[in-house]
Amino acid sequence: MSDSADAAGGCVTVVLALAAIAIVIYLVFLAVQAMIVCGGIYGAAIALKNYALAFRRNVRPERVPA
Amino acid sequence: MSTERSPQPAIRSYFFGKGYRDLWDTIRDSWLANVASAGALFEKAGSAWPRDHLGKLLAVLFGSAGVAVMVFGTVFFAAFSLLHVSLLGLFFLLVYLGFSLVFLLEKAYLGIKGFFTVCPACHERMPLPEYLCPQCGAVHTRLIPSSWGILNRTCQCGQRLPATFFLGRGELPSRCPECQHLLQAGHTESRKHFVPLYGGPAVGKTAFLCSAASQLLQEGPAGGFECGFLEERTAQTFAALHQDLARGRTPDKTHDTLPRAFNLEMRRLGQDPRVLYLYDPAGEVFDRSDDLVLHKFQGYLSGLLFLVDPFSLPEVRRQHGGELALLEPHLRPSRLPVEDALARFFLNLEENFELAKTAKVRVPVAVVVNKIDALALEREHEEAVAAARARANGRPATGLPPEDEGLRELLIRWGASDLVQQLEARCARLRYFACSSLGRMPDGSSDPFAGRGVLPPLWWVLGSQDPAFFGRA
Repeated sequence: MSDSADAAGGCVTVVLALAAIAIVIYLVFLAVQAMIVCGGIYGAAIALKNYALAFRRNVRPERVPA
Repeated sequence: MSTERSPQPAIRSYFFGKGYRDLWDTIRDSWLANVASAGALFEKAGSAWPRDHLGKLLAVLFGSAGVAVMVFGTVFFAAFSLLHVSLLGLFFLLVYLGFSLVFLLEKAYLGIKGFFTVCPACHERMPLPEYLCPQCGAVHTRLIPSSWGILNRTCQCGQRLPATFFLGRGELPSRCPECQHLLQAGHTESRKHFVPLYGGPAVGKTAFLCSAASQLLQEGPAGGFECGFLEERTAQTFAALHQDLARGRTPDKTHDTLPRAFNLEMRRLGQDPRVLYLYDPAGEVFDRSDDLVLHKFQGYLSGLLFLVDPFSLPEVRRQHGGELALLEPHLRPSRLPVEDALARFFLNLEENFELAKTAKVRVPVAVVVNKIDALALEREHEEAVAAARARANGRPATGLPPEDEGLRELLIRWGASDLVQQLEARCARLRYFACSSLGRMPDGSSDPFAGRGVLPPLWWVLGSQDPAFFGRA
């Protein structure tokens, strides 16, 4: 009786531990995904800003030299 | 399109030059900025990674951002560049279509009007002159609707210039591209008639020119024409000649074998201005064919006044030998046989102006027998005309008016049958006129000269080519 109870307790512990690890991995995965999406948006915004600045700096009508 | 030949001292349309430089600079700058941004983010990721877990997450954030900058940056500048190029291309096309359309419209309009440019100095014929900027004097060799401007262009000095006839381009100072002679608007924007006065030395061409100009100025308003000079130089030449004639002095000998055009502008309400290009070369030009080659206006003649000095004809010299000997200093008979002068003219047209050996000159040729008032020639002329009238009885045998018929017969009687034959063989439209370019015999007195019969040949030549002058001969 005690042997089977110990075995069941051990299994529950293992399952709980695995579940905890899975949750942590999932959370890390979510965090990394969120970081990737945020990084992508941030990077895209920087790229857009870079193009806009380059456009503003370079595109202007030809003027009569002073 | 032919509107784009040579560089101009003007600001070119943005869509034909600078737009593409700007596009390239934008792409280059944005790429360099992306590389710099991505590098900075990767550096941040690199420095955050060795720290704690949060640092690792930040490293992931910065690393992703760095990759995103490169990926999206490339995608963005590819997409924006495409949009940029498309817009540039669209405007390029619109501007190209715009100036081509205006250019073709202008070309067609000027073609229908018969407007082109002829330099009165070097006789070069061209579609347009060179225009000068009124502010800085820069030379715009092709001031037409083009990539430098559809309707206007901006000179390098900032002055705005009309690029088309429709907006008053003719008001700008202009010059001949060949000889740099300054031109007037009338040298381009007018219907032109090119009429040289040909004949040997001392046939009276200069007196004829002056008398004809004088009478055009006087009689023009009666026919609805407002006449004037295009250039100050012509006005001064005329004033000097006119003064001589008014004081009973014959004009000085002409020395220029390559004459400048004597321009007269004739304006009539509701019609395009007409500009006459009258040429008075020295008669010596017929001594040597080389000089005639330079008369480029023979390539675009409107007509010809061929002056004949009857005192150069053998029979007249024989009939009036005694009187001629006495009056020679006043009459100054031409020494060059008239047939030789005419033969050189035809020969020159054959050799240099593509007139076939057997072809006829298509422009009207007026044979003008000058000095008709001298001795008894006028009476002879009147008798010959009366006889021709009587004989013709309303229907002239040669198809010529009796006045012409009488003069033609007189020329034959005076020993100029070769001349008449040559003229009739080579001229499709021919008439004979008699005139006295001085109006009286030069006798040393200071009574003014007043030409007689000088306008009818000119009116006939002009009327044969232009309805505005029709019926005035």
